[in-house]
Amino acid sequence: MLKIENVEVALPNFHLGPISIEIKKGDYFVILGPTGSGKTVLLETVMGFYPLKKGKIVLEGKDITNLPPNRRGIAMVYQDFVLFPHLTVRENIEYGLIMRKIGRKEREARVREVAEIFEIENILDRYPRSLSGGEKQRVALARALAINPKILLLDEPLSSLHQEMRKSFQKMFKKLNDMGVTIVHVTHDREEAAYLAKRVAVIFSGKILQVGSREEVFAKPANTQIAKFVGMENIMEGFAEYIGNLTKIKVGNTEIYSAAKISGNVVFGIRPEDIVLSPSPIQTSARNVLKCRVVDIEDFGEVMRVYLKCGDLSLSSLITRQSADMLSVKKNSEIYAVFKASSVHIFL
Amino acid sequence: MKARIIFSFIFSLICAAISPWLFSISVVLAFALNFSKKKILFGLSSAILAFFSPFYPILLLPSLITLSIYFVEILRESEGWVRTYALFFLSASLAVFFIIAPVVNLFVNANIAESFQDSALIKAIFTGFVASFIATVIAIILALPVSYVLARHRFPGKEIIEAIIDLPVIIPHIVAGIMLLLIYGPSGSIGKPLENAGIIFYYALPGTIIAMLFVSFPIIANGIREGIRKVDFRQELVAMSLGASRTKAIFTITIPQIKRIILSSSLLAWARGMSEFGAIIIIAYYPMVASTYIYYLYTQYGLDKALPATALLLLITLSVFVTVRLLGREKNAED
Repeated sequence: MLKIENVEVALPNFHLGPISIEIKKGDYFVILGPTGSGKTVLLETVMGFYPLKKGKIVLEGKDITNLPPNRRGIAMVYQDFVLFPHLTVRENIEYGLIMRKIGRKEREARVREVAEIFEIENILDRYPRSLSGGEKQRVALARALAINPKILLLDEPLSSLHQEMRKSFQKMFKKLNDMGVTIVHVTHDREEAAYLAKRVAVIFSGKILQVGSREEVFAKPANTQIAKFVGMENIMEGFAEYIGNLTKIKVGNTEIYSAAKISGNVVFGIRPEDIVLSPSPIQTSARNVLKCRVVDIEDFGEVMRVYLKCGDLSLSSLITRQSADMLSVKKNSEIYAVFKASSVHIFL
Repeated sequence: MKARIIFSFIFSLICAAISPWLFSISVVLAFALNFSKKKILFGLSSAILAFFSPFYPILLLPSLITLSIYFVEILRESEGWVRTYALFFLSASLAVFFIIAPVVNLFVNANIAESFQDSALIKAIFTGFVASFIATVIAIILALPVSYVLARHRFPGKEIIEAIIDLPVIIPHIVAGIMLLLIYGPSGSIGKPLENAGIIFYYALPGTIIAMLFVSFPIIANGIREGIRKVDFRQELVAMSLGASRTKAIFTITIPQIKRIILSSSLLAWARGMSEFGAIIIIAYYPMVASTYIYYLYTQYGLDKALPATALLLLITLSVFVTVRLLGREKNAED
């Protein structure tokens, strides 16, 4: 549906690209990257706010590279909403419809429709400055969707909201996507990406480093930088040796097994939530069972992070409070770390 | 307590009306009766200063203004606040006095009624009004695009353009007049072809307008530029994404938000045009505007003749100024 091909944008103090991604109809595409990586610039480029230095943008088979923003049919919601302060909520929502010269009756019906979706019927006559953050967000979404955009771009839509409200907005975004709205969502929050995305692109300093399904990107990060960013924390170096259908990796004197087929010096990672703790060396299908000592415990309420020293390997594991209580994990106690060979991800 | 304060205030007012010495004494008394040691010192010093009669008119009004604010605040029982700001009151009242004294003094000494009979004066004031209004409208039309570009874009040489726009502010107005005459005059490089086309600047209304435009343009251009800068650029981007063309986005999103700034800078520019003298007298002595007419009265007939006209002009200008300010405020309160 939306194809970005070798796009490069040169700004006074930032260079974006070259970037190539393709977004399909009905997709929930999350662009994940740290602050300053060019996520917003990428969205604004898609909107048509910057001239391209190179490349082209194709929307529904039509080259829109040189089309002005008002004729692209793409809507964007900024992180801080950017409502029109001199217009009421109703006028804000109507704005795009008036610009499209839509008749009064139809306009009113459309406003009613989106107001209902976002539950803002009762604030239609208020001015933006009297609204709460959540209300502003709803209005911004309603304004964007009123024009039936081909794609909805969301720029860090949850970062200026309360924790509680985030969850309800995440659900709303999912609902919108289920209703058929194609969404491109940029964020620096990997959990947001993990929850919402169908597909994920990882962007660092103006370049896309990896694109793939959510499962792909989270399970098999393309390099250590991405791995760290998407939450794979146990990243180490070792020497790999391919034996039969498995790969043995030696870190110091400790050996673990990976499902990847490779030999030589490697960097690998294991997601902390993939490491299960057990009080005894249980019989499982998991290839890796390591005897460890608990070095430290961090308490995050519902989850706990346990730092382990397993021979020459340092691992961290995320476990629920419940299992921590069951295992009675204590500092310096002995415990077994269990993880599958397929959880040991080798970066190429 | 309150009664005593009010009494001493009225008492010192009456004393002030009678004589400086009595006023000084009354101020000392008022402070001694009502206030602590520090404030007595404050009262004493102002009273002693007031005692030196050459300073009396200079100090009378500020002391009165200070005292009034002082008393009002004390009656509102916010003494801590008063203490902190006591000195500021004094300096503030001096500043206000510096501007208001000549104005009040003029109205006291001039017979405005006399000026109403002078039809040439009324005509001159009217001419100035209209010319300055036209100059302001032209300035707004010219300034909008320039200010927009300056506010929104970075480009090489931007500072130079900004400096050029500010130039009329620093040029002595006589110099501006001579420069304008040279180019718009009968033999000027712009004036000559336009004169052939029927537009005459020299000693004609277009000349007045061009002189006013020259001095008021920077006020409008800078005002609008600052206004546009305050409106988030992304609002225009969002408007465009919703289907507005760039121009439409500017006129439906940015301009409505800076209406007040446009209004207030127009008012300033208009007043600036009205008060222009140096440039006008060189390029267009006729048709006379208020400032040139008053100058003519003063040089031909002396101060006596010029005074009523001056007072009338001042009165009209002030009332327009105040009215527009009030209108602007009301509109703002609506949204």
